[in-house]
Amino acid sequence: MKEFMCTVISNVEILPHVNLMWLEASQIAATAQPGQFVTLCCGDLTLRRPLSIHQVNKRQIALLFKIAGKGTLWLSQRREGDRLNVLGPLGKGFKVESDSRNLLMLAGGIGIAPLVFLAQYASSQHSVKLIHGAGTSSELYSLSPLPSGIQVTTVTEDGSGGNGKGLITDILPDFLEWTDQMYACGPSGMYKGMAKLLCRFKSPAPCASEELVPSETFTQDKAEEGYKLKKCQISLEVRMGCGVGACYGCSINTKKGLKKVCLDGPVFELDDILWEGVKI
Amino acid sequence: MLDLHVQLAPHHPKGLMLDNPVMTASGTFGYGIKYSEFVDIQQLGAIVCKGTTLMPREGNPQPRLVETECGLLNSVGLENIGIDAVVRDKVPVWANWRVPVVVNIAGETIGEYVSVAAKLEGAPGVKGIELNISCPNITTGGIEFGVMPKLAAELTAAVKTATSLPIIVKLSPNVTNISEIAVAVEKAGADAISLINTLKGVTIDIDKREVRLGNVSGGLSGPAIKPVALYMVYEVAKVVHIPVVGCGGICCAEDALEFIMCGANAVQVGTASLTNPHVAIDILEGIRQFMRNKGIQKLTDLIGVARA
Repeated sequence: MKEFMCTVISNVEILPHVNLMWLEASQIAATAQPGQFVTLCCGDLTLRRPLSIHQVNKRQIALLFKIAGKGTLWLSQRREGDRLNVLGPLGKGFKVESDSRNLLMLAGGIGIAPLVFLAQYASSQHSVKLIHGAGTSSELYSLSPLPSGIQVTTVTEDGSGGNGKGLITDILPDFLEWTDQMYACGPSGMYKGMAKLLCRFKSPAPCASEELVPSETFTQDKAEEGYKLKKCQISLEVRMGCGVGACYGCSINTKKGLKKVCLDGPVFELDDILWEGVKI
Repeated sequence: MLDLHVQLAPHHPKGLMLDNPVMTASGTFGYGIKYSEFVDIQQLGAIVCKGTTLMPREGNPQPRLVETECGLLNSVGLENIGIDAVVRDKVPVWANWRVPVVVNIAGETIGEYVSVAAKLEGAPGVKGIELNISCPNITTGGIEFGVMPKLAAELTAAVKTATSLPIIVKLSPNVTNISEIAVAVEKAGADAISLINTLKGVTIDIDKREVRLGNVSGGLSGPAIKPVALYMVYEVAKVVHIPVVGCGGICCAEDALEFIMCGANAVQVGTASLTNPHVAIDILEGIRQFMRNKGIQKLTDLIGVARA
């Protein structure tokens, strides 16, 4: 991990309020792992902004970000040739187990950002399916950077586009038998929905907080299968200070004790998160 | 040849001589170890580590950080690994450093502070203790010592007897008369005073109609508090005869020089390190540049020059 001055190669609004920015960052590109992130100094703002690495291409890295506040607005206004102070790559990324063959990726909205890098990284050795959900069709990410051979299913909450209307968690049960490992990035509501769903698969008795009912009724055999398959890595987003584990600004309580999202994460096992402690 | 040395504990047998006046502020630089991977921290005057308590602390609920206008509101709540882990895991690293380390210690009772200080006795690399009597983010202890002169003095005296290291007492700005506290801890044996810790603050999310911080209130730092910090340094330097370490919103060499001319013998850089990990090094170089430009050989010639 190091600090670099990186030149902006391009910075384009590819979806409404979503920018794709390519940076010249050869050293970050050389070592970055899927799920890792960088932080960027944004003008006069006090806090650097963390963004997950979206793609890597030889000497360049791409960042995909939604304009959600002052920092990302400032970043969206950078032009070709501008130089940015970038720290990275930071954090611990996704892990692909050596015996996993079928990888399922769940991308809620802008959560597609780190999963494209993961799909590019993993698709040569693994079979990959991706479910991408968005509020409406105009927010669906163009999946052209994805390697061929990846099966993509898209859903929109308003039914205006994609393969159907609804949430990622509505169709997730259809994929659970197939997958060996799952990876997700999206809003906290999506994670909470997944946690409930996978919790149901895990035990024959319903969870105390159970509200969601999967689209099919599963037999006991399938529930046990679900238990084996429930391992799911998610990328968390919490307000960060230093980004390197020094300020304790992003600590969360997990089943494995206090963890720093910037250093121990941002990728965690879904099962380890204590949701009442994570207010995003 | 420029001379940037400053002595922060002139009345202490061991002293606390810094190569230069630029220190890191507690809580913003961890234990220095992460940053040492990509910042040449050995150049700095001193590293002040994360506030350390007798037992590990979990800290406050999320969210812990909110950016404000020209500043940062935090309620980390002294999450730390506890003194035993510091001695076991961090001290051996510090032992090989050229840069002196000052350990910031905190507690809820005098006994806790004393125990923490005692555990640092003989720790290689540790050259001083900063008594945190001013953390605004814990509900008991800490802050109370910082607002009552008598308690602050008792605590200082008690820790003094438990350690052979120089003691810097870090003061809270959340008091009616900071000079009174400063004089009390000086009389009790403080070797130096650092100020200011963060100012208490609250921020509201008007869309959600709720407070933004998990702990409701937090401590404000960053450029927004610099004039307040300068005022308090000015006032304290007027009444004490021990060195003063200025802290609060320092982002560049010019800011640091303001504090030094105001009466600070050294400075601590805090929140600005979150924005730019190299900022303390940049500030040091900027001070050198200023001295070269103005033909000043000794940094000590600048301390307090703006005072009437």
